[in-house]
Order: sequence, then C-alpha cells, then structure tokens
Amino acid sequence: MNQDLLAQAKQRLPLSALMAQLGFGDCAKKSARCPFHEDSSASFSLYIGDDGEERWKCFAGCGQGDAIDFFAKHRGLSNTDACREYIRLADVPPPPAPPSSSNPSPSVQPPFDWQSCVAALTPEHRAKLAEWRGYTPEFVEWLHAQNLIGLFSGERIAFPVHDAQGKVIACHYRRKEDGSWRYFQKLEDIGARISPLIIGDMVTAKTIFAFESQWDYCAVADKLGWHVTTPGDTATIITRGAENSRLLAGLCAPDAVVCAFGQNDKPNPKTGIRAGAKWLAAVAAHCGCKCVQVVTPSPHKDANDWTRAGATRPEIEATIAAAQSVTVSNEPDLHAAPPRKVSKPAITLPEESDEPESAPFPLDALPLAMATIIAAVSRTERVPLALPAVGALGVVSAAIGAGLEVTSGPNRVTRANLYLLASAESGSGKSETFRLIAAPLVDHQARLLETWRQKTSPQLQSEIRVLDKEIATLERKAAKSGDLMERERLRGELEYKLARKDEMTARAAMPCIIAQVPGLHHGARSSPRSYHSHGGRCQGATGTDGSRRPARRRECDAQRRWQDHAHLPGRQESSAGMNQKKPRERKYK
Amino acid sequence: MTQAYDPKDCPMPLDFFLRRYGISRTTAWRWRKNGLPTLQVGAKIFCRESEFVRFMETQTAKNQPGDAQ
Repeated sequence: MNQDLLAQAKQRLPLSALMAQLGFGDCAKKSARCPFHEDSSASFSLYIGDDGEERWKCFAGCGQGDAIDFFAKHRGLSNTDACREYIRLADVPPPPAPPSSSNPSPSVQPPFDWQSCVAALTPEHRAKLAEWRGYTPEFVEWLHAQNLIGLFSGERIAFPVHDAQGKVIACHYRRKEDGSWRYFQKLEDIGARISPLIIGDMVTAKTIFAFESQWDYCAVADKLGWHVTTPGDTATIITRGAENSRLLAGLCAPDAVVCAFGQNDKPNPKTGIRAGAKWLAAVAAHCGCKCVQVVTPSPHKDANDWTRAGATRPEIEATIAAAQSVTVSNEPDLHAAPPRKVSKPAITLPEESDEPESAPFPLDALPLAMATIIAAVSRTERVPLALPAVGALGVVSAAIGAGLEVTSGPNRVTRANLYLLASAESGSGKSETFRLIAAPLVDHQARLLETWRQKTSPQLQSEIRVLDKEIATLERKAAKSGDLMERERLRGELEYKLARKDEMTARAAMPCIIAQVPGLHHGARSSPRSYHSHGGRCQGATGTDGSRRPARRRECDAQRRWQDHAHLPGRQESSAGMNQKKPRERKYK
Repeated sequence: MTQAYDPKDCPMPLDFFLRRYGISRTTAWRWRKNGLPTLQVGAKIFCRESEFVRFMETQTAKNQPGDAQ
C-alpha cells in the first residue's frame, strides 16, 4: 500500500472525523465508553500520539492503534482491506495509473451499478444467449425484464448478488476466457458474504427448487413455463456452485420440501467423489426440511444439458413427480473410486470424511416456539440449524435447572440438566449464535440480579444486623440469669437466632450466573478485565459460572438463591404435608 | 408467610419443649405429622411455645380416659 496515500488519507480523515463518520462521534474524546464492547465505565480513550497523530486505546483490552486500526476493528477487515477502504472513505484522489495497469483495484471504483449491466444486455445479446443455452427468446426476455440477468464488462453474462434488503450489491459473472465464475465487486471488499440467488419468497414457499447452477434453473424454468405462469407457494434458490450448499441453512421453512436438481458430473479423479453428490448431500443436511432429489437422466450432465438435448415439459414434470427423498447418511460412499495407493507414505494423516457432518437437526421434534427461534437465528446468522438448536437446548435446560423432576423409574428421578458441547470452526458464528439464543435468559437473569442488588440484598443485610444485636442482648441476659429455667429458655432463643443468622448469611451471598455470553457483563464480574481473564470458559456452556464447583451443584445453589428472593424469611413448614413430596416450583415465572 | 415477631413468643428449639414437658421424640414426630406448626431453619426445627402448648392441650383432651371406644 502506498504510504503517501495513507498519509494523505489520515490528513483528510483523522481518527476523530472517522469516528464521527462511523457514528461514534460521542466516543471521540479522552475518556469515553468503548464502542467495541458493552462498557459500563469509560474504558476508551482518544489521544494524540508522540508523532502528533490521533490514536485510540481501549483499556479493557479491545485494542489500540490509529485510524486504520479503528476502521479495521469496526468493520472486521484485514489491515490491507482496511487501508484500501479507508483511503476510499477519505476520498483521496488516486495516483495516476501507470500505462501498463489495465486492471485497477475494484474497491476504489464507484459503487456497483447493476442497472447499467442490465441495460448493456442488448436484444442481440439476448438472442445470442437464447441460442447458446437453448432457451426460448421469451424466457430470456422475461429474465431481462426481471433484472435477473445482465452483461458485465463487455461480453460477460452476469447475475445479480443481493444483500439482505434485496439490493443488488455485486454481480456474479462468467469469464469468457475459461468459463469460470467471479464476483464483482469482491465480496470481502464490500463486507458481504456469498449469498445464493433467490427467486421468490423463501419464507412462505412450500416447495423450493434448489439448483447448483443458474443455467439449470433457467433451463427448467423455461421448459416449465414459469415465466408465463409463476407457480404459487414456490421459490427457487441457486447456490452458485457445488460448494455453497450451506447457504441454505435457515432459509427454508421447516414444513417446506426442497426439490434439489443434482448434476451428473464426473467423480473427482483425486478423491473419487462427485461434486453433484456432495452438493446434494449438503443441501439435504442444511435445508432443515424434507429434501427430495430430482434425478437428471443419466446421459445428460445437468438439467440444461438435458433440455438442450430435447427434454420436454411432461418429461421434466414426471421427473419431479418421481423425485426420491434424500436421506443423509454417514456411511462411506461405496460407489466412490478407491483411494490412490501410495507405496510408502511419509506420514499418516487422519482420513477426512467428505460425507456431510451429520443428519439434519430434527427441528420438528421441538415445540413450535423453540423451533421458530432456532430457525430464525439460523437464518440470521447463516449457521446450520444444529448450532442454535444445541444452544437452545442448553438454555432451556439451564432455565429449568433442578426445578423440574421426572420420576423415570422406581426410586429414580431425572432432572432436566443437559451437558452439551457445541463445536465448530473458528469464525463460523458460534458466539453470535449463542448470544442470540441465550439473550432472553441472560436478560431475565440480569433483571433478577438487579432486583437482588436493589431490594433483596439490603433487606438481608439489615436483617443480619438486627439479629446480631438480638444475639448480643440474649448472650448478656443468659450470662446474668441465675434461674436455670430462664437460662435454658434464653439458650433456646439464642439457638434460633443463630440459626436464622446462618441462613441469612448464606442467602446474602452473590447469586450465581446461570448463563453467560462472551462480551456481555451482567454484574457477577467486577470489571471487564476480570471477565476477560476467565474468557471463553463459559461460552456456550450454560450452567457454569467459572468457579471450580461442580456445575450441577452450582446450578442448584443458584436455583435456591433465586427462589429465596421470593420469600426472604425462613421457610414456614406446613406440618400437615410434612411427609408428602411437594412438587417443585419452576424457577422463573 | 411468617408471623409477626413477638419477643415473648420467640420460636424455641423443639427439643426444649420436649425436655420441659417430658414428651418423647416419637410423639413430637407424630404431632408434627398431625399438624403441629413448626419452623425449620437450616436443619433445626423450632416451635413457638404458644402453638406447642395449644396443640398439646388438644392432643391431651382427645386422649382423656373414657374417650376410647
């Protein structure tokens, strides 16, 4: 990166101005709350460094640095990308391009204009496309009218890439040179992720047609006349490649049926695995609903190949009707080519399974409200259903705690405690998923803790002090009393007061935290720094508070303390029901 | 619900009354089962003297000679 450009950018857009532009103007001062974490006290500071440049630091550990570091942290960018974006944001005029430079960086170009791409696809281009792919001209015209196809940078056919709001932020174009597909703008430059091409409303659709390639969709849609009469309650999703099946995660309604049009491509000579089979298995694993496979007849490579070979509408409809349910299996693929034999391997690596990780999570087995939350989080965070589902089970388990018992056999009682461990790759959205799933419990817990601090704890402390005084008085009286009966009575009374005091002292201890989310502090930790020293231990592990006590014991303690808040004085025992097992109360109401 | 604090009728350990009135632990156990109001603090059982005496009188009245069938 050109240092002159960076220096110019820092002059034009210093850190304080950058913060104001990013909406953190109120933090651009010597002492402020950190914008990067939930800050209850002022941990953030903006100051002038030794070189006269504005710098920032978060004393809670979020980081420090100059404007570029701030920008990179805020956007989650690498240093290189942050520099590039920062220069663009500072509106630094680009240096004169060298004569040989014919491919300037896309990120310094103006925002992407999809409409110009659509306009660039002239009638001649459309006719050429229809002839090339074997589509009817009417269908290509419909695609064009729907703004679903365009021409990018000359003669490159392009499809739009939408953001969450449905705005076109980039295009997915086909290179003429080698037929490969690329994105413009680069998705990482604009802070976007690969997203499937969705046509229709996935939320309400009962039938979802899934394609690996745009051409397959166009071929099927053309033959079935979807441009003439759009079928109701259906939607289409195109994953833009065999590797992107996970993009279906959380998009389909639990009661929908996914009709996946697989491709009959050749097995990979190295692994012996067909990309189409892998795509199909991954679609079934991630869609979160029933998945059926629409089989393209064997001689044809894919649906477009089939339609070009003369497939008719009744044939395609019959194939869809005969679609077989896809079952996700962890068994090895017996049809895969045998692995290559290596005479003397230098090292033996563990074999990696190319099968899908696991069967789809049985969302329909959960209560509707829980399933809805899980599906919503999965959709928002684009993670497999299993991740929020495991978190939700843990949160529900922690919320029930020891408050519910099931007599599962003679002399046997089972509680709702679950011990779960969710693992996934770094950066796959574990923390954010757990934060969303645990938010209701954490919020409720914070409210209870606040009530405990403001009301319960002062009451307990005052009660303990009163008891202290009464105990002292009783001790004096008992010591002076000469009457044996009176002395014994005073001793009995003293015994009661001491027992009350012990109980009050036990209740006055700080309640345990049942659920904790990294980055959030709800009072059990004295400061963010102390939290970070324990960081990671509690994430996803509901029912732990970071202490060394066994989780079940801690949970029971916490449960008892929360329950105690409802009735502060000693438990009044009803002797009429002394030997009758009373049902336990729910902890949170 | 707890009763209002009365310094003259403070809960006392149940053992105190058992010793004072010469009542066995088994009888106390049966009385508790039959409705003697007690108060458990931690692992210890307490009882107010007024309630204990009242309950004792009702039990004694029931078991007067001649009442048995």
